[in-house]
Amino acid sequence: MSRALKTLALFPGEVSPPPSEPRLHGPGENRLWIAAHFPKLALESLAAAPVDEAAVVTESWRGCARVIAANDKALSLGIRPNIKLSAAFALSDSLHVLMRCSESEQSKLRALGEYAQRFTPVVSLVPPAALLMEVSGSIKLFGGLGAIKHLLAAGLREQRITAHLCAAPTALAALWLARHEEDGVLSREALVGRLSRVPLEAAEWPEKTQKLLKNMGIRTLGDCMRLPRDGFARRIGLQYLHELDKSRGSYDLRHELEPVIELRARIEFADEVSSTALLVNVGKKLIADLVEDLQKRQIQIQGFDCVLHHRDRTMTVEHINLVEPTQDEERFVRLFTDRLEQMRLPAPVVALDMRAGPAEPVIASHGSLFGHADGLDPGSAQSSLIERLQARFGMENLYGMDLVDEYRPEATWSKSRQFLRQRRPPLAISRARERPLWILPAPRRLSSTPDNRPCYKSHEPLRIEQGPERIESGWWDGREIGRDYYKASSSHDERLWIFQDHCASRDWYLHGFFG
Amino acid sequence: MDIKTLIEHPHVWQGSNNQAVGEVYATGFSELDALLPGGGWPTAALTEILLERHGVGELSLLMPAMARLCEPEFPESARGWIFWVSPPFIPYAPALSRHGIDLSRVLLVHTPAMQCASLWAMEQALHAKSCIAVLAWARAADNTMLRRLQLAAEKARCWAVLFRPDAAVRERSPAALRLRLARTGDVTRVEILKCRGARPGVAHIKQDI
Repeated sequence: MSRALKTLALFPGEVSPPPSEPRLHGPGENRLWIAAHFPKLALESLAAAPVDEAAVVTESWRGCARVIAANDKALSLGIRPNIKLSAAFALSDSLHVLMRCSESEQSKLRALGEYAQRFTPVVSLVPPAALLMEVSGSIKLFGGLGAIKHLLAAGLREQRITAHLCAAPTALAALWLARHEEDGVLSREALVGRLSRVPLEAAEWPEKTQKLLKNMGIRTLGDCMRLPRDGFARRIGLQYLHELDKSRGSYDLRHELEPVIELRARIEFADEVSSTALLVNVGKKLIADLVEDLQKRQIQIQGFDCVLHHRDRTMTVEHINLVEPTQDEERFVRLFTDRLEQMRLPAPVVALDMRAGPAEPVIASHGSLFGHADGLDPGSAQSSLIERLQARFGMENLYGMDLVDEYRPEATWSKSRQFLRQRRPPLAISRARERPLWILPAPRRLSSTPDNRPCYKSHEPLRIEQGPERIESGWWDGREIGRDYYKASSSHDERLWIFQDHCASRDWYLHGFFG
Repeated sequence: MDIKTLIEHPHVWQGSNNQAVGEVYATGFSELDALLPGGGWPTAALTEILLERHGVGELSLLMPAMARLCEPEFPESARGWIFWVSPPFIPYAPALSRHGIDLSRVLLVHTPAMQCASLWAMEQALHAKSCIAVLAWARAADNTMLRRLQLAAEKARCWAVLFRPDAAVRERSPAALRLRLARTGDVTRVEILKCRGARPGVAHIKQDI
C-alpha cells in the first residue's frame, strides 16, 4: 500500500515529498517549441561525403572505431549507427570511411541555427546535433505551425540536411520526441502520455546513468516518471529529475539556452604590428563591422572582448564593459582607443579579434520630437563618462556614496556603484553629530608624548578642542571598537579628528580632518 | 566705432566691470561675496584654490554653495553630478549629508599619482556636460592644460574648482578666479590673487570648522 502511494505521488496534485512537484501551469504556458534533430549531421557536415557510394562516419570508441552516421546507401546495406566499423565492413566491402570532425559539425549546426532565426528570434543550439526554436510568436505571421514546419523542412532539404522536426509545448519534450522521431504534440494534457513511450536513449543522459536505469528495468521515460521522486533524485541524480520536470513544463527554459549569436570580427596582419596607432585604426574598422552586425540583428551588447594574438605567446585579452547595453559605435571606439592607448603591448601583435559579449534585443525608446536641448541625451552622456573613467582608472576607483545606519565611523558610509539613480532622503543619523568633512581611508596611528598626549607631524602635543565623544560598537560581528573621539587642533591650525583607543591599547589615532 | 562697441570689445579690460560676469552661486559668506564680481562663485569658469595644507577650511568654504545646488528648488535641467577627482582623502558622507549635499549626486574617482591623470578626468567630466560641479586636486598643471580646463568649464557651464599646492602661486594661470587659503585660529584668510571682473583683495572669514 505504501508503495502504491509513493508511486502516485509523482503526479501533480498529490502531497509531494521534497524535491517538490513541478507546477504544470507556470510561466511559459503558451509556448510552443519546435525541435529539429539532425541524425546525420556528422556525415552531412563533411564536404567530402559522397552521395552515390556507401559512406560512414566513424569515431574511436573504447579502442575501436564505431560508426556514428551512415548515408542512405550504407543504411540500405544494413549498416546502422553505433555498430563497430569491422561489423560494417562485414556488410559491405566497398565502404567509404570518413573521420568525424566535430568542428565542422559545430559550425554547420551554428549555420543551421542562424538559418532558423528567420522563423523566430528565440533559437538555441543543442549540441551535438539538434536545435530548438520557440515559435509561438511566429505562428500568426507564417500562417500556422504547419506552414513553419513545412518551410523549415523545405529549407533544410535544400541544404541537404536530414532532419526530424517535432513541436511540443516544452523545449525538452520537443527535443526528446524529435530524437525518437515521434510526431509532435500540441496539448499539455497529451504531453505526459506521449513522453512516457519515448525510450530512455532519447534523453541522451550519460551512459553510466542510462546503464544504471536499465539495470533497474527502466526502459522508457514513462518508467522514470513513475519512480518515487526522492529516491530518483538520490540514486540517479537531482539534475535528471529536473530534466524530467522541465520536459513536462515546469520551468521557463529561455534563460538556460545558449543564444546562437556569437558575434566576432577578426583581422590577421601580414606583419607583426607593434604600433598602437595602427591597432587603433584597425580596431575601429572591426568595431564598425561588429556594430553593423548588431544593427542588422537588432541587438545590443554590454561589453566586448578585444583579443590580441601574439606569436609564440599567450594572447592578451582586454574586457571592455559598458554601463548599459548599447550598439553605439562611437562609444565602443572611444573605450577601445582609451584602453589601447593606456596599455603596454607585451609583444607585437599578429592578429586582432573582437568578440561581442552576451547580446540582448534592442528596446526602442521614445525620442522626443525636437530632440534634447543640446542634441544630447544626458543619460547616455553620463553613462559614457562613467565608462571612460572606469576603463581608464578601474572599476574600483570610481564610486558614488551611500549612508549606512551604523555607529562605527568607518562603516557609516558605503561605496555605491549605482551611478544613475534617484535621490533618496538622507538618513536621520547624518544630522545627529558633527563630523569632519575629510576622513582617512583607515585610521592612522599618531605618535605621542611620554605622558601619552597625541602629536601630529611635530613634537608639540595637539590641543584638544572638543570631546570626548565615546563610540563603542560592533561586539556582535568581531570588529568591535571602543574609542574616545576628540576634535583637536595642531600648531598650524589644522582641525583634526582623533581618537584614543580604549579597547586594546591607549594609542592615539588620526581619523579625519575638518576641512 | 562708437564708445559702446569699444567697451564691449573683448580686448578691453575694465577694472570693476560686472557685466562680463555670468551666473554666480553665492558663497554663503558675505565678506567673500562682497569681493567677488557678481557676488559669488563664477559658475561657468575655472576657480583655482591654492593651499599649503589640507584641513584649513577649504571644503567648508564650498559647502554652502554646493548645498544650494542640491536643493530641490534648483532647476531640474541644470542637474548633474558633483564630481570629486582624486581628493587627498575621502569626503566623509555623513558630514556631506549634514551640510545638505545630496549623496546620490556625489561621484568620486581616485586617479593614479601621474600628474595629468586627474586633469584628464576633470576635462572629460567637463566635456561630458553631465556634472554641475567638478572638484579636482592636482599637484602640477601647466598653463596650456589650465587654459583648456577654463575653456571646457565655460563651454559646459560647469563650476570647476581646482585645488593646487601653495607653491603654484608664482605660476601664471588662465583661471577666472584664483584664491589662496590660509588659516589662523578660527579665521580663514581668503586672498583673491586674480579675479576676472574685479580687483584682488583679502577676505577674512570667521569659520568654525
